[in-house]
Amino acid sequence: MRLSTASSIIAVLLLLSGCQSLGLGRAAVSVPAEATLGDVVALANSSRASTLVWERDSEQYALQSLGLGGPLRVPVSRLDDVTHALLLWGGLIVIPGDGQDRIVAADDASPAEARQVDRALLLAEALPPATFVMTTCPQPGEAGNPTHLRRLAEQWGVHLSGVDDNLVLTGAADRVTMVLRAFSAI
Amino acid sequence: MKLSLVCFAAAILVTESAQAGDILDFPIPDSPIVIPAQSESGGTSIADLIALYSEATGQHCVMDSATQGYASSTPVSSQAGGSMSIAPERVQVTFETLLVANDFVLTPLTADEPRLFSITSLNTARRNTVSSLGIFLPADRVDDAAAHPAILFTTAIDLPGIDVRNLASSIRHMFPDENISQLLAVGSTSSVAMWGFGPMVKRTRDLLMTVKATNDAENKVLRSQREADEPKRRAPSPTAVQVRANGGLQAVRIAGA
Repeated sequence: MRLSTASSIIAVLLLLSGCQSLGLGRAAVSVPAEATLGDVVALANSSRASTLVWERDSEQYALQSLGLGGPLRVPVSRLDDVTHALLLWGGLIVIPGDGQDRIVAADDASPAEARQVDRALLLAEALPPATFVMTTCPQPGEAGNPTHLRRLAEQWGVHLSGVDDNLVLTGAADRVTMVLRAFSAI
Repeated sequence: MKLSLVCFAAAILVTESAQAGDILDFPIPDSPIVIPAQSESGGTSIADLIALYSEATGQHCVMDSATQGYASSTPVSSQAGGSMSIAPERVQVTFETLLVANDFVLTPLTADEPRLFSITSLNTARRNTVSSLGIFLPADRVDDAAAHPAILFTTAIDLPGIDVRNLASSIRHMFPDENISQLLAVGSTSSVAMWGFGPMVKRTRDLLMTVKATNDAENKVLRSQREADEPKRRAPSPTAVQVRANGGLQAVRIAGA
């Protein structure tokens, strides 16, 4: 009897977590057809999905129109990921901070501000896609000078530097993950 | 007990269905989509086509303002005469073909609901950074790329036994615009990295594999020839025997003199 009660509780918890992942039983927000990037960020902030602030000089990107054909309904559980996907599309990255994250143009971000993460975390796609990260990876195969790999990384806007046999990759989480996958195939 | 088992099974089903989908699994519409015929008042623009596609598949498009301008002013080029009906299973590839034929690139942005994709015009300044929208595809999934003529992919192919630097430089002319197509030899490894539209990536991979197969076959012939010649090479030749014999005679003469 005890076993059945315990397994029922576990099952209900799993069911709830699954429903939440699907956005069921939770509120959704509506992004208007004429929304700008700034509007989406404001929605994400008001729904407490995240706290994002625009860095000075990147505010112009907030006015960027999304050109949505119609209104977009986003479950609150997906709002953070959708906001990050749109920021990344707009050429922006998110620098994680204490309490609030900053939105910066990818070209203006300093690698020193990137959050250091384990590459396993990136390969598991556990971080929102526009998060500005830094990770190390062993130099693939006998690649020789890291400059040979730089062009491949730069294709995705990822900054690459070399430290002995370890490469340091800096960029948006989604893009760094792609570089890691490409390097593992070499 | 039965109830808890049912709950548990339902929980697993819901949890599994909540996992991330494949970014290349595009929704298939329920019914064919019809692109209206050109009329005197104007025809279907790329913007209209995107709206039709979005509505039929339940996806949402994002475009920067420069691309919006081009999409509204570009008529669907392959539409001569009457209306065009596209079967549900052909909607994705036809939509992408019409996009790329008019210099537009498609990029899926999310794999889960809400499904978002972006359209970028290659006639805007974004052409210079469009390669950053490329999706990495492992070599064993390159066949999937063929069905996506408007999506940019990057892949890495390992070609052991091939001088990839030489190969990459000899076929460089096949990739005139490095923003949308490129082949790179990766350092001193035997790998090449390439990016381009789906069908091009697949065709290039096929070409590289043909080069590798030819090279492997030639190497096999050379190796078997070498193996066949090995016993002959090891056996002393008649000339060498004669030279050795003559040398011995001379040595005897010198010793006798």
